[in-house]
Amino acid sequence: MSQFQRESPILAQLCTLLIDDQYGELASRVFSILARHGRQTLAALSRNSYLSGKQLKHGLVILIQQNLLFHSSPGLHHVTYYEINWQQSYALIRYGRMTKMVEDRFGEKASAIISNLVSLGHTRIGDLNEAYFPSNTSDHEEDEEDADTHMNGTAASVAKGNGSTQLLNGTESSKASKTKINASTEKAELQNKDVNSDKVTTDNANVNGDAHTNGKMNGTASVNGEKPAEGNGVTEGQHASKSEVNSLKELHGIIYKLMVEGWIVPVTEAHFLPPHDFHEKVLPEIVAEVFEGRWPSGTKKQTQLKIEVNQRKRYLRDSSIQAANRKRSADLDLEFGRPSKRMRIACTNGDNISTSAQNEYAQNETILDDNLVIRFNLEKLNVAMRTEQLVLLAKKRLGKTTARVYHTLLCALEQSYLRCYEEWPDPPEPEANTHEVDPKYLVTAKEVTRKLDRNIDLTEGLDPHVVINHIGGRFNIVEKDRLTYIDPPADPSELSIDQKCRLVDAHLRLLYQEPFQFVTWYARRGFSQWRVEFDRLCAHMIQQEIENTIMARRDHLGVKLVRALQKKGRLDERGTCVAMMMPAQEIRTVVNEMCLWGFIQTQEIPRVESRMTKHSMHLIWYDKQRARERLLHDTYRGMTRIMQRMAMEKEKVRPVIDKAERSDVVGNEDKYLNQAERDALKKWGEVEEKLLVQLSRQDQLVAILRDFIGPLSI
Amino acid sequence: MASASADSPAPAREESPAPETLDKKDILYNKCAQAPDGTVFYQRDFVNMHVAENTTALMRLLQELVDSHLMKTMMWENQPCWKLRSRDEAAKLRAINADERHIYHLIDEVQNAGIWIRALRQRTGLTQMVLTKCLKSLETKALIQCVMNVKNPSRKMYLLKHLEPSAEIVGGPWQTDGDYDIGLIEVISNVVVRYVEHETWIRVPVGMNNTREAAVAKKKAQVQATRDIEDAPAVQPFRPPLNRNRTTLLPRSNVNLPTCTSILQHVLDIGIIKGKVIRESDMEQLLEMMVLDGRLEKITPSTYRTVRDAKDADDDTEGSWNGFVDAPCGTCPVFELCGDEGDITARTCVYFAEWLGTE
Ligand code: SF4
Repeated sequence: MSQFQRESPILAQLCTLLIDDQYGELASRVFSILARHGRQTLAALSRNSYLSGKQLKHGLVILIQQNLLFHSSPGLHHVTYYEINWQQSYALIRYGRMTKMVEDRFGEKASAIISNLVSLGHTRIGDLNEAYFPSNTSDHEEDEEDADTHMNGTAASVAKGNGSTQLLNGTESSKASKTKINASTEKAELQNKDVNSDKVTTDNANVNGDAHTNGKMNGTASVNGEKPAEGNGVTEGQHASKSEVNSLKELHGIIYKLMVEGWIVPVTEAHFLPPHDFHEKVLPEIVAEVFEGRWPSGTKKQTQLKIEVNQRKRYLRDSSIQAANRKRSADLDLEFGRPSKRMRIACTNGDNISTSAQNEYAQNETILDDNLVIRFNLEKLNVAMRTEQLVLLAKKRLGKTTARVYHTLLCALEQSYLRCYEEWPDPPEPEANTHEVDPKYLVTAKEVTRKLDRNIDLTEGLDPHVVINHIGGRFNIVEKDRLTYIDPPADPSELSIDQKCRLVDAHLRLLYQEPFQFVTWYARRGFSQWRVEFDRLCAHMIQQEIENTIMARRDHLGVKLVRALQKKGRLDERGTCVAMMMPAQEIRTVVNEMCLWGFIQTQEIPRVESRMTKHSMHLIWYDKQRARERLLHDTYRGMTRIMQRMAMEKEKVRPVIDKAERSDVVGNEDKYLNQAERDALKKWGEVEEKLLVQLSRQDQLVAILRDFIGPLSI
Repeated sequence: MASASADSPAPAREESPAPETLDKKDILYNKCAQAPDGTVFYQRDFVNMHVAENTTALMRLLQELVDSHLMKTMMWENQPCWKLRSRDEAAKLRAINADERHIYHLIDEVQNAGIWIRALRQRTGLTQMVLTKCLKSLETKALIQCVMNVKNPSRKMYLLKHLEPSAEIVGGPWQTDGDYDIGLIEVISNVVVRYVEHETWIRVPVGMNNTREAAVAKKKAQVQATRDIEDAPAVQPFRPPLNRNRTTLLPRSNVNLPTCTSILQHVLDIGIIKGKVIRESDMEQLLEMMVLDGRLEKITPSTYRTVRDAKDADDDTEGSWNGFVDAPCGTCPVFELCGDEGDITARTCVYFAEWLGTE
């Protein structure tokens, strides 16, 4: 993640705080040494710290288990270097969000599994089996060692002996913090009034259904358009045991489903290598294979090398995922609608997934190989967060009904996106056929209608005239008191599928006509077929957040200035006045302030030999990428301050909290705590919630600024 | 050319009876004066007026007119051509001295683009003092005017008295004396916003089709009205309460979105602009500025609509920007100075204390 590997002191500080919060002081101390001194060996680490070798190893194990460190042993000496995985480290703050997102999409059972995965770090299937269905015979210690050897040769020796306790500690502490941040995520959602009230959607029910039959691996395949799945009924039926997985089959069914959807990925060697080492590893391979060992010269060959390297990197990263997906399509081809065959997914070399040939059709279950190591896919979380933020934006602009339609559309597309943007892309082909879009990136109004929560009143949020047009008949439009409405009101439950499709289509057209152009029309298939130009939209969102920030810090004049500069490029004072149609003295203070915040840049061009400032031209301009980075860093800083404040506020009420957590007090608060103590606790609860909500919202801002799109060129 | 019209009865009266009583050059002048203002005459046009017998005579006549400033000579695509001056102006011109006349001609050449005083000095080679004196005298004779250049406020530009300075110099209708007329811009912007909003949005009550309640009420009505389906007023009982207090704006369907032209037409129609000419390009400038201002949105390169106000959202998401600026640090005046230790830290921060209500 080259974009994330550019560490900044403030990010390091934030991550250290997060690690301290979740894994304790030792881990955070080791982490901060690595943050300060960069990539180093164990020997260097002990030179740079006052920690004993044992402590260091202890700390490293925690960090490695959570994938917070990369490690590699380049060269012949097999000395292991450790390096921080910044993306993963920052993502600690998102653990609550991960389970929440999975729950919204796949139900509580899936989210429980995810939350286990999150707290365990990367996990061997065998260990998960054990955690869910402990068998008396299995030797835990052995399993542990086995896993570690498999996952990383170097750390294994370190982990030996205290590995399992480590694991347990990790589980415990992160569970505690998980619940905390999870709660905050929900609160944030409440504050944002997110469009998640329809989270009990048909999708949800279907996954659970899948888990039972272990059959249809494709969510869409089992959605029946004519009789919308009884979303509520099914989930309620399962309410009693909804977060408990009943059998190994079910467990593997859910994991497999999540793998197909891209939320869980098999771990490969590539995931542990620092980006630089990964590059160093791929490069000679390519030179040897493609260029017969001769270093390519000339621009054309160099370009080819670059393309090949990127291709190989993508392959190494994705091969295991693609294998899973290939499996899926093979499934569908072979037995559309029939129970899926038994298969074994093995992880011998990271990219080999083999299907056991025997009993292909006899058994209807997916069994995952015990030695397969899986982990949560952070990049998929970005995709889900992108959906969330786009829906919020659509809601602000077009109201909640349209936003819900949009939400359904985006969720339908999510399966096709493993990540928000490709880090190692092929160069754009000059004559590429840009009008042809891969069908997996398209979705029709009909599909959206089918997946839409049927409790949504589609007539809301549309011009009444349009509604009447589509549902026809016995309705009138009343215009009274400068208001327009339909009379008598239309009952959405009486609408036919066809009418619903028309209304959905009308909502999509609204999204299309927005200046943002939330969706893009593609073809007339299925009422209308749409795609989403995520890159453009995400660049827009960044701009939007920059403008929001300026608006809050200053006023609309700052925003106007930035927009003027964005449109006109570099301007001198007079040009600025003309663009903004304002007198110079009113603009000057705005310009100064915006420069101070780093949102606009200045430049002095001398016009005379003597370079006298008086005679120079003073230009100002707006660089979106720079403003984006600046705001990102400021946000990291804001998050750090919140964490610091939270620690301080907690310290203040520490005695009371400790008392309240005593085992004899829990459950008997009224008896043991006096009024003042109870008030203090209540106040602390409010304070913590308020801080966590803001923290979670700042994390959303970070996602918008950092995770949805690569560096901007303009 | 006011004087031209005053003169015109004269030739009409004298035309047929006694052409000899008038000088030939007057006849020529009068004939030319009948043409619309500002007409440019070529030699063939004079020939067609049948005043002079031959070319030499014609050229002599023209020279006389030019000498008495009743006409001026110009070149157009390498052909000489002539333009009429009013008798008034000619009289004034005859009364000024050579330097002034030279200056006058230079100013005349540039027409409404205006000429900078420094350029005049270079072209004439006069000293600053003489130049200033000449310009003063021309100004008092109401032959030329001085305007300020909005782009370079320090530059004085000169142009003929009767000309409107070009928009380049005075900056179009939105500027007065070189400064943007904030008041005028505000008034017109409001008019534009009101018009465009009305054209592009439709106001509906929140829950305009309040069917959740409607569905429940309908169920009830059906249960209660088990007696006879036919007489049961199927519609009446479940009319939902319209919430008139909360309304929202929705994009109108099938509208012709307002364009610069239609907006300008509207502004002109309601007639709030007096004494100023607003061209389409001026309007466009205003609209573009309003887009920057966040009051309008461009839907296509030529059409606009207004921005929906946060208070028109169909529930209350308003009032929040983003997680960063909604917390104290985002708008903190000492953000840059705040550190992990020292005088300003998150632990000692008063803004946090206020925000959290902890003291
Ligand atoms: S902690 Fe307080 S002083 Fe520091 S930046 Fe935030 S609001 Fe400002």
